[in-house]
Amino acid sequence: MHSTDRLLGAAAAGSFAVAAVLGLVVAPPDGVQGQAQRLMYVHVPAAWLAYLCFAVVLVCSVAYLVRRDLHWDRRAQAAAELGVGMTALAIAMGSLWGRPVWGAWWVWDPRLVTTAVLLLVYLGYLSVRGLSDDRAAGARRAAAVGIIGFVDVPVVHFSVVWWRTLHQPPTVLSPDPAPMDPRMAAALFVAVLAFTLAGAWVVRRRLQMLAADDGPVPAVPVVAPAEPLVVAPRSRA
Amino acid sequence: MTSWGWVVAGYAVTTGTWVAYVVWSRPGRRRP
Repeated sequence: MHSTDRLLGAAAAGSFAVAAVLGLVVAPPDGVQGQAQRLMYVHVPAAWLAYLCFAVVLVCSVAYLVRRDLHWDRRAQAAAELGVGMTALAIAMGSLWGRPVWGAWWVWDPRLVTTAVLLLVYLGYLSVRGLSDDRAAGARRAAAVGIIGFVDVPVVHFSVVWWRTLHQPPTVLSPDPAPMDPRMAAALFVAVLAFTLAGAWVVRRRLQMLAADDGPVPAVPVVAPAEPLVVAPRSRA
Repeated sequence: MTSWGWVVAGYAVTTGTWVAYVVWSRPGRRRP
């Protein structure tokens, strides 16, 4: 394993351990929601990492369409896979949090619905890749979906501002951040850091596998033989 | 379920998701 991967993996594991202690022990329970609010320390980082992954998909998709280099396509694919996993995790954690606090696993709320649409868009992104046997055509179509699909990310983020919603408004990424207990803020910050480091680590590992699937780039271009092959006529003797 | 029960369930699902992803993304994994 590459030394950068080892370092990233160790940093991710260490920050996960610190985040667990901060989130489960050090941070106080919420005055209204009680202990269930601790789910914020896994729900918010999952949503943050999903946003980050889809931003990477956007940048790499544009880079692929400009450069037509499969390196960019593989980066977009690896980021999209993790983004889909993190979106599903954010929805699952929101559901586990909603049941004790809202009294419902799911409500047809703008934030929840736009997040579900986000999950479907990027599942579509991954599906589009396999529609053609032509590797470049699949990458081109996926890049188009990866660019257009990103439109839903700001819609998800601002859904709690634009529409009447049960979901709470942004706490940190807001022009007017809500005051937060410093222990809660520390737990959230370290959890976001842990998710980000772990995301970078697994995407790097995944890229190695995707690169192996595409095979090595030939060092010299494959060209036709300069001289046509001549088959000697069979002797009639 | 108690308030702590939801928290423990959430942390368990999160840990399971990450472990599964790390195993799945391991370079050199044998393909099905």
